[in-house]
Amino acid sequence: MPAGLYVHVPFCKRRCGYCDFYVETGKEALFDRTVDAILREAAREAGAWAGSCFDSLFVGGGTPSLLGRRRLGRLLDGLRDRLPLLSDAEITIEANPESTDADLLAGLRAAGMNRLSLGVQSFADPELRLLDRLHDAARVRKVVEMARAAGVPQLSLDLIYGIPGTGAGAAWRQTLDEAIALVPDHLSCYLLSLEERTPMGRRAARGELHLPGDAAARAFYDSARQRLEQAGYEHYEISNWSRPGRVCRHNVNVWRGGVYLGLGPGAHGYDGTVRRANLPDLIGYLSGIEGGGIPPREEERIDERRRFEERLLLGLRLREGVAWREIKGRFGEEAAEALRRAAAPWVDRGFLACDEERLRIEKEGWFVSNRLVGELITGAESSGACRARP
Amino acid sequence: MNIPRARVRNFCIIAHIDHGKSTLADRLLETTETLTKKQMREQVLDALDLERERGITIKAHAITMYYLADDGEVYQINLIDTPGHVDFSYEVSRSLAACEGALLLVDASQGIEAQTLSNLYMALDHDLSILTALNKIDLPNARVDEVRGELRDLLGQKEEEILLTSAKEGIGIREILETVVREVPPPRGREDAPLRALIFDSAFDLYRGVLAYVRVVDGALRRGESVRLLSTGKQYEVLEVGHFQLRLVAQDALHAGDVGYVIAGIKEVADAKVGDTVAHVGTEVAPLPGYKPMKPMVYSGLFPVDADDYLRLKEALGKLQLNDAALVYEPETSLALGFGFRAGFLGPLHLEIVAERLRREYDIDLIATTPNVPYLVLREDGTKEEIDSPAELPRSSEMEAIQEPFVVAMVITPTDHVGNVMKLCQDKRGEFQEMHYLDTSRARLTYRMPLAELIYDFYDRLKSTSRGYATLDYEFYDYVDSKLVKLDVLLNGDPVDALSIIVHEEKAYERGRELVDRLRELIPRQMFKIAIQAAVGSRVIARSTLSAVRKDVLAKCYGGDVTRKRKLLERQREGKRKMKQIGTVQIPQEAFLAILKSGE
Repeated sequence: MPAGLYVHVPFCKRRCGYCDFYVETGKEALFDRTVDAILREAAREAGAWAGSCFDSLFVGGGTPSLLGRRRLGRLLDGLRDRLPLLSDAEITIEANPESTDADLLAGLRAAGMNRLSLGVQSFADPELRLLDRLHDAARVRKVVEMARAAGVPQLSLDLIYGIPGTGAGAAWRQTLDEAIALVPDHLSCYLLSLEERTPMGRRAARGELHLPGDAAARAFYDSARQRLEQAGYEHYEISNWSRPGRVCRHNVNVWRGGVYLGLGPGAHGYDGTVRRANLPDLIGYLSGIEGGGIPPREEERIDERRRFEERLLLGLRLREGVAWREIKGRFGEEAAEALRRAAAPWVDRGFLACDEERLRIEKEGWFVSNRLVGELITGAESSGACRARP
Repeated sequence: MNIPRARVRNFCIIAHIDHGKSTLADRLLETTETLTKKQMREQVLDALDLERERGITIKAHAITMYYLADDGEVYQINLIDTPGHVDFSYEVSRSLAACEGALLLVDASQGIEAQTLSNLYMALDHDLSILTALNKIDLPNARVDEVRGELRDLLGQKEEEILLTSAKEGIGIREILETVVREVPPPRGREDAPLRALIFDSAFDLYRGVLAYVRVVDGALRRGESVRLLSTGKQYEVLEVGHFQLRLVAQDALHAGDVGYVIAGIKEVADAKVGDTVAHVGTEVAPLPGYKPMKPMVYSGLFPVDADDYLRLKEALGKLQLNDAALVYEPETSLALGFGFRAGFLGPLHLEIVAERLRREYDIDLIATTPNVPYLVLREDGTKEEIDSPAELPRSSEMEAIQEPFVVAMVITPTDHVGNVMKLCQDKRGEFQEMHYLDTSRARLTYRMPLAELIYDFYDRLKSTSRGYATLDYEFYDYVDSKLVKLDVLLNGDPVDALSIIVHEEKAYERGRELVDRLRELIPRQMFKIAIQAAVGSRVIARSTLSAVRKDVLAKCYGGDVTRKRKLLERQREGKRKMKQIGTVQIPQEAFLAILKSGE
């Protein structure tokens, strides 16, 4: 089975007020060293992954576009030199509108990028300002135009709903409409959730920002489903929509429980047995790699029970759900039976759909999927599935 | 030391909680040099930590003191300590029966309180000579003259007969001892009559078995003799007799009038019943008057929070029962709470103490369900049945009538609060009996009231409605016909057995509303909406709907980082461990605790 390749570029011009990911700001001086280190890490891993072939490469962040044409080109070329990347691999680069221009796009195209994932978030300028984004809606339209001109085959837009503000409903409709008008191949819509350690999270805790209530958030989600479906997009994953056949191959691989190699500080990988994460520590990463060793990282062996959990945790995010045949084959008849028993009440209540072939999330279940899957897993476990772990 | 009976005195101290009984006992022991200051821990007689902490005496104790009086003679003074709470009033009455005198101790700042009175009436019933003392006269807010006036009016005593003390400061202690010597008659009883000894308390010793605390009424009790207990007819060989002097001091014999202990190979305290009579094997004697088996008046389900603690709970209850004959329990299974026990107690305080000891001494996380009283069900076929759990209540169609226990409640309150107290009593289905003014500022109210109402937040409300001044005492009155119904709580149609209660018809709506509203606050929202209902039979009398959870975290997770998803799952799993499943609804353990607690 083909593998995925993920590269984490932790750099941002500045950290957005809601962002809880691993990013570094003001580290421009380390860009080159980081690209070098990632390539050295790739070379190091080449042996272990020699038997695989990568059919997707996803350069995520952070803000990969911040690296610029030259470094990104060097990164893509270098990875291709060191690892078995298929010629028709999906190659996605995440980009922010303010650091993306025609020159960069042309360069990336030349380096083999065939999918651009643009961090749009909103088409309402007040919302963009509130989120500390460095671009405005006009810039997004311009960049999309440039991407078309550069012949980028696939375009994905990242959007955020549930942004605080009085006109949140209208702003979200506007954002959806304008996004659809740009005819992207793919859309990701995420609910803004504020961690308390972020600046916006602190403002919300102080009562200065008011997140929409549960009912409003649910309404935003439902309106996205409705509008995007009308516009011809398939809701193939809990937070992702695509034109037919234009799903994100890289992420689908992750959700299907596939293997992937993660490179760069803060990157996660999975080889089918062990989950590995480089620690979110740029300096530690650089000095580890440059010293000829391995970067600081943690590893976790995934046992039978964990694998079962993850299979559901990830697999049920997809509209296709999980196949009974696979569950039986991997975890045994008993586990499949336990899962079926645990699923029954939720099927009856319209949260899950279950047929001979597959188990998947339905209507009611999408918006509470984490909890639902949690219920399902704990239910199945107490009913006898994969109890092998001490 | 062999003291002739003429110089033996048996007396007890009766007092309201916190009026200083234990401190006074300490001073008496000190003054009679029964123990040196060095041995003296404060309030020696309160052996249990819990008693010490709450400042109340749970179990009666007794101690023998030798006192060199002003007349140059040495007296043997047996002080029998009595529990200070109405739950244990039967034990108090048996302790009183072992005495000839009682010292009524009244806090000079508080004056007469409800328990002072009820204990006093009990002492008068036993024909004890009553001595009175005002305690805490050193306090700046002591109202010596007024309280002396109250006592004078109450007992017809001369004011100069009322002793003035401060146990804390050691004032007036010798005067008390002198008065005991002078006023309390020596024990009566015929040494040459066949043995009759009253068991007024018992304790369990891990090595020696049961220690029965006895007052020899007639005859003498010697080591090596064969005795029997009249209520059970069981026979025992006396292994040891003796006096209490902090330690057990063995004697050859206990004589008529003596107070002491008997060790006779009795295995369980339940076999040495308080109030029972000890007699020699082969003699025909009438039992001493007043014996009645102790009967639980309050029941509660005790469940371990962690199901794995079931066996530990069982063992702990067994150990507590070794020393507490009034504690009874049997296994109970609840849909909501799993395996546990239904336990019977003398009263709400007894329940609270046992629950607290299980938590503290045995480290068991415990849920105690809303206490209920025992009911008498009269079936149509004329049979009568006592039920002690709401679950056992038959359908109303199968019942002719239900009776519930009523008590006579006595409240002493400053006159300012009389209106509020009366309103509360009426609210609690109390039937007014009488009102009596102790003086111009304080009144005594008497009500007949269902015990069930009394154990449900009455005391707290009494305290708050009277700014803490009103005091309460009560005694069992009788079983009375009552319009009672079983109130069930349903979650999405499934009954939550642990929350079922038996209530008066008129209270059903109020209690149902309360339960439903409380549950709505306490149950976390779930994936579907939950109908919370209170129902009597098939009739829903209160309902509330808890809307469904509508969202969870749908934030972006980047680059195949599944750890966040898994953290969510772990949190959910952890939460679930503490949940109880009722049908499809999950209720956190804390919700049960909060609800059940609110009823305590």
